[in-house]
Amino acid sequence: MDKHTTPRLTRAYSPREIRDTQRFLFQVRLKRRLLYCLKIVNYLLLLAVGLLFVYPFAWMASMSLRPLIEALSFAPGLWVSDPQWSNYLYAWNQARIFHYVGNSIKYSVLVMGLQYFTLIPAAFAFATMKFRGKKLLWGAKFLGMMLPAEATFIPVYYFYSKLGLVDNWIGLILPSLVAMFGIFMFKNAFEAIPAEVLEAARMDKAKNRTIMLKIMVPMIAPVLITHLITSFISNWNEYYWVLVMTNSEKLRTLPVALRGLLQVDEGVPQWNVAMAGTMIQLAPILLMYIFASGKIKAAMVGNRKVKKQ
Amino acid sequence: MQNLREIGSRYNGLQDALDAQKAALRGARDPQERRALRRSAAETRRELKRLKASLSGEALQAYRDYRAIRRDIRRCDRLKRYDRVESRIFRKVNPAYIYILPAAFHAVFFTLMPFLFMIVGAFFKLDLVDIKSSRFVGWWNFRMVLALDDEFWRAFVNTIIFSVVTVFLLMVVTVLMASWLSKNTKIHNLAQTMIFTPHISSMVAVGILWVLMLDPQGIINQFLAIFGIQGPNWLMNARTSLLSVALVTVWKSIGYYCLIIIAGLQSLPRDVYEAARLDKASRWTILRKITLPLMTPTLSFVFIMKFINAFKSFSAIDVMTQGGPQGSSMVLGYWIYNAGRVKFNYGFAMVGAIVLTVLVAVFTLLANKGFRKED
Repeated sequence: MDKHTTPRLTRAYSPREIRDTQRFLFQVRLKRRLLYCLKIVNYLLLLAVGLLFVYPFAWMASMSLRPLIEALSFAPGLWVSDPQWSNYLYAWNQARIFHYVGNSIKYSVLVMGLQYFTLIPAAFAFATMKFRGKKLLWGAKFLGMMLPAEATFIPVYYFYSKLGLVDNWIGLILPSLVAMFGIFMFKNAFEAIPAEVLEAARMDKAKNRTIMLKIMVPMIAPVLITHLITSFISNWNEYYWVLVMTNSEKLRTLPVALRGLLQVDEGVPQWNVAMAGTMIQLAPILLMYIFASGKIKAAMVGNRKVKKQ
Repeated sequence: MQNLREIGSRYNGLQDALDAQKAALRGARDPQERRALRRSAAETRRELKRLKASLSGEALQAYRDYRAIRRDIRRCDRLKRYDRVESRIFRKVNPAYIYILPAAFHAVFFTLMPFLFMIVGAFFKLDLVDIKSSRFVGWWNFRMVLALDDEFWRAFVNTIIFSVVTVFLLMVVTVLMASWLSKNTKIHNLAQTMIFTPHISSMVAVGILWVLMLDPQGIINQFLAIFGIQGPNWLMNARTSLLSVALVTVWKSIGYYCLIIIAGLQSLPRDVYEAARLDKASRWTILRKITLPLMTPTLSFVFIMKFINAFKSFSAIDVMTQGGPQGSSMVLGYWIYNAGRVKFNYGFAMVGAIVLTVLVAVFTLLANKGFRKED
């Protein structure tokens, strides 16, 4: 009995891997090397997929510098042998991009500067105060979120024309000033502040406006920055609202103007100029993105996560 | 010491006199009297200046302190007065109503009133220039649009196809890509950053870019030609126009939804996975029993948002095809815009708007319910 078990045990203590070390080590090394190769292939694939999303923009930049004849060949290369900076000048002056850039800047700055005067009090009231009709109003705001702007633009346009707000800066920025999205975001941020802080402030007989301005707003500063970034991007890119609520070129912003560059009566549009205009429209946001990509990504993705709850 | 206190009393006396003169000036009507008062006020001011000029060192510091104290007192007075007014108002009105005023205005003016106008207006032959001349036509608008307008039905079907295609593609692609990209190495982060780029650029710019790339001689067809495939004229072909626009919107939003799913994946609790691994759960079981249920809120959010956004897609269509050859890429949003803002058939546009709203609401509810059941 004993004689039978002992060899078995010894065999168990010298497994195959140790018995022929050389082969085992070779296998391990091979496996590791293969994994390493796979990792590199994976990284290359990742970069290739990433390029799929960045390359069109680079190509657009290259297109905007080509002369028209070269642009019409749609060559996929990025290198331009003879960059035509005059395309930008042409777009800036002849296509009156300067006018639309000014309008775009005015629109985004007006909205960004004024929205917090209305958003923060509303969010504060929804988050911390009690009043009659709160649920009703909240429901109405939610309905507004569900109701697509594409469906309600005719009634709104009618009201606007009665109030003289069409082709008017006030009318243009009005809905962005009390957008549901911002109220929602700030409301969630306010509600995340511990109730003890509020209670302590109320004990000290602080008024609502003191609590809001001196305590709550400093505490949600990161959310403010997030909202500032998101609202700048969305306002700079706003298309539908501006298109619908303006009749003349006076207030139209850059995206609407770009749309106009494509509409030509006959022949092909001047692609290189159109690309130059589009580059001008994209430039501020892409520059921002290059220098603060992490921040912007967090802002755009993070706040949606707040919205979900 | 005595000297400093004297300076204070002197300063306060002069300032009191000045304030009194100012108050009198405010009350005075007679120009002769006003002139006299103004002259005496100027005299007092000069006196004050002379007092300040005569001081130096410690005395000047004392003068400044007294001035600061006085200003503080006046500021407090002003605040007190403001508070009194405020409390008088807030005793009657809940302060919340003042805070909420803009939001309430928005809710009424941009949501409730248009909503009611939309429903009521669908029953009228509307004339927005002179609203009184619009006629009540009953269900005529509905009959015209729903029964007789082929283009509307094409738009409706296109909307459904468009959103189903985009949502389906997006779900498959983003879930796969998110599970691939969900790591924190530098390269992974770089790839995430790169795929996110289209989302922050405007739909118009992306649309123009893709109009170029999808040109019959454009990059896409050049690429296909390498494999010997003759690419169609993507945007001008009735068969491919809607699909091309759908692909472009998918391309634009992959990065965004991908990052949302990655954020969801990375915030999943680690200990649950460790426990599962200790219990020798297979990878498939972990995916089915742990990852999917935990990811349901995120996925449902992505799903709903994408559906609603797909219904609303306007700018992509407007830039790339304008409803496409023979209405092949007409979607509801664009149809409404066309009927209302271009053809001035407001009643028809209202009917379309109601249909769109119902569609959005139904899909939101459906998605909500479907995902709730899975929990």
